[in-house]
Amino acid sequence: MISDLAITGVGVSDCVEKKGELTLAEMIFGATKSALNSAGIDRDVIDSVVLGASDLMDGISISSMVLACAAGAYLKDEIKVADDGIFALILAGLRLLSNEFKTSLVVSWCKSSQTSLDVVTRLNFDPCYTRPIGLSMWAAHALQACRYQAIYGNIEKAAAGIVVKNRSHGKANPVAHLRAAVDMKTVLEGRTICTPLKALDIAPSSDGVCALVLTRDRKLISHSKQPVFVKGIGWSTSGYDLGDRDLSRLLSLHEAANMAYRQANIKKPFNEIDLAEIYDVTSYHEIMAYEALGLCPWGGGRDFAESGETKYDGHLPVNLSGGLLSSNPWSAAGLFRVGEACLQLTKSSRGLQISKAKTALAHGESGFAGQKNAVIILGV
Amino acid sequence: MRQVAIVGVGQTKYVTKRKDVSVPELAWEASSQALKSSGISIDEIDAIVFGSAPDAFEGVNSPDLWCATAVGAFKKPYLRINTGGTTGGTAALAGFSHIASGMFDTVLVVAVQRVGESPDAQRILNTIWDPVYEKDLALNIITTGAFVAVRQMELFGITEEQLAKISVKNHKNAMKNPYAHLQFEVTLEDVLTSRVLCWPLKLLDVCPRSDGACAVIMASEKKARKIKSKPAWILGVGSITDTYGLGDRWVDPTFDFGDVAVHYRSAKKAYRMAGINNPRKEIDVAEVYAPFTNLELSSYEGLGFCDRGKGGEFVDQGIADITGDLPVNPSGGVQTAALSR
Repeated sequence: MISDLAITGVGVSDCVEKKGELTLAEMIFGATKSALNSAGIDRDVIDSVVLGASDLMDGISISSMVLACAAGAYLKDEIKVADDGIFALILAGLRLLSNEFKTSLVVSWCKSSQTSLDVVTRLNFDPCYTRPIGLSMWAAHALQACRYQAIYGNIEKAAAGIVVKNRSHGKANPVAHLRAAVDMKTVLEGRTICTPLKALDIAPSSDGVCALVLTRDRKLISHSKQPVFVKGIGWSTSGYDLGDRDLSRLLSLHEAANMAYRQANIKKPFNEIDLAEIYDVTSYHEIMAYEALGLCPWGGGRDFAESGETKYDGHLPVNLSGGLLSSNPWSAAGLFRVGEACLQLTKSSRGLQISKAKTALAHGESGFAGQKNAVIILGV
Repeated sequence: MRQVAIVGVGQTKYVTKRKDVSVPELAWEASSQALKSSGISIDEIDAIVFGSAPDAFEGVNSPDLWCATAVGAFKKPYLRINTGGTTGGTAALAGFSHIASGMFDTVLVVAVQRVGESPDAQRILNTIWDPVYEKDLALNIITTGAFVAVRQMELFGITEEQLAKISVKNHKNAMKNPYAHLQFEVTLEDVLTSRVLCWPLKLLDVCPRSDGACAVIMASEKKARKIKSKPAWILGVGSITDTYGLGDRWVDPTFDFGDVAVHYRSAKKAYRMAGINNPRKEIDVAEVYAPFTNLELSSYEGLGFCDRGKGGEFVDQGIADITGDLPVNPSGGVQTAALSR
């Protein structure tokens, strides 16, 4: 049963532009150690380690080889998912559900300051057809936003509202990377990165590590002060080429959400979910995610965003941590969503904290313009 | 635990450079063959696991995304594993977990590597080392493999001839494998007089760099029995990570650096799960990942096919030969087709 799985330890590092004083291994060790401490266990209890990282962002091929032991993997069964860290959590869950293991460390990192996110993500594109025309991660997201607006109308102001919301949440979070609140005017007058995306509509590049302890050991769960149960996991994939997709909808996110909702027995997500951490790699993307997650109808994202329901005092606060628009440790950003959602549910948030939260949704993705998506439903 | 079986296998012919296909096409070639051999269609696959090692080989970040449509991952759960040389093996472990977890009944596991896209594989493999302390020492996979070999020679008296015999065996086996990359026989003298890459490893002790893909279809017990009358069951699995630092592997009192301790430790787990007490007697055939002859030799010991330090004698007795009692790498092994296996 999926609901046997519980997250009993959370180690979410601070996010900064450049963690100059620590090596990547030291950063990983710190977050891993704090996850173990928060679970109240030693490394001996761990029998599986699942990592999530990107070789090219790390600047080290097979980077788990150098870094696995910093994540507690010495003489453990260790495996690396070369995807966003949220997929590492999924694989760790499958390994526990299969009874191969009892307790797993899930660790994901990104030290964006060591390399260029723009250069690395440009290498995602097909070397013959799409790379030469200069497609980049932001260009792909901009094309997607344009397509959305061509069908559903202009959402520029609603998107700017998302930036204002998430940055104001981030302002309250002492471990967020960007900690200055911004107003609508500043967002709307920002430099254009790629139409319609402006400077503050896109996520920064940050350094950060997230480590979680995932277990199905009943003893550990009963001894845990604040276990967060996994109620549903879903993940799905869209085609690679932008031209093959209906860019106006995040269909693989929709599929992933439905899979997770089915397991968690969620029928009306807006009513049943208390808070969400969404992969807001751009402000437009968060609005499109509302629709794919079924929080509002297709095309209803603008109205939903402008209703204020996703603000701190709304019915379903989204990205209370500040989201990716405040901190973006890129290849770990999805696992950060899970970590931050856990901190909310256990009332351990370092920033804004809502009082009554039973069910949370965390969303992560990899690939440009939302090719691969994962959704985790968490509950206490 | 839920039983897991393998019900389909597909491989491409391994070559130095596949100029006629793109990476996604290569992935599809193996995947479609695996589907064909299982007799089920891609629509019947519940989830997909993709394996590929350093992105730098293909020169594309996250080749799994590039291959998503080609391997039929559209609208399906899909994730990528990258653990270096063990990628093919750990992708299979991930596929196993998908089914054993009870969440899926059929999984396609596909591993792809197109080393031919990179001008120099060892230059890329040099980037696996610690960027501050070790990368500048020109360490690569071959030089570190040679460190182990030297230690094996010192500890156990392994000879260059014994290593060469493994190469002779593998090349001979590859002659009968239409997928093998290197298809020529070599003599003991050929191996011993081939160019020294890093003593004691010579050109013919070392695997080639190949372009290729391999796919398997895994299924739950119920599904497997419907698909195949005699599926291959996965009885045991095990995986262990040792410390990265080569020098740190001297501090483990249980094993020496020359032992390649992970062989012993991972085998122990898999044997326990499979209920195997005497591997030498109970195992009929083995395919081991050994990019160098000395690592195949150490696997004989670590996997319990012979006693510690007796790998050399095991070779001399011809037990691992195709006509022997426990043939190892009847396909020709990694030595005749590298990396995606």
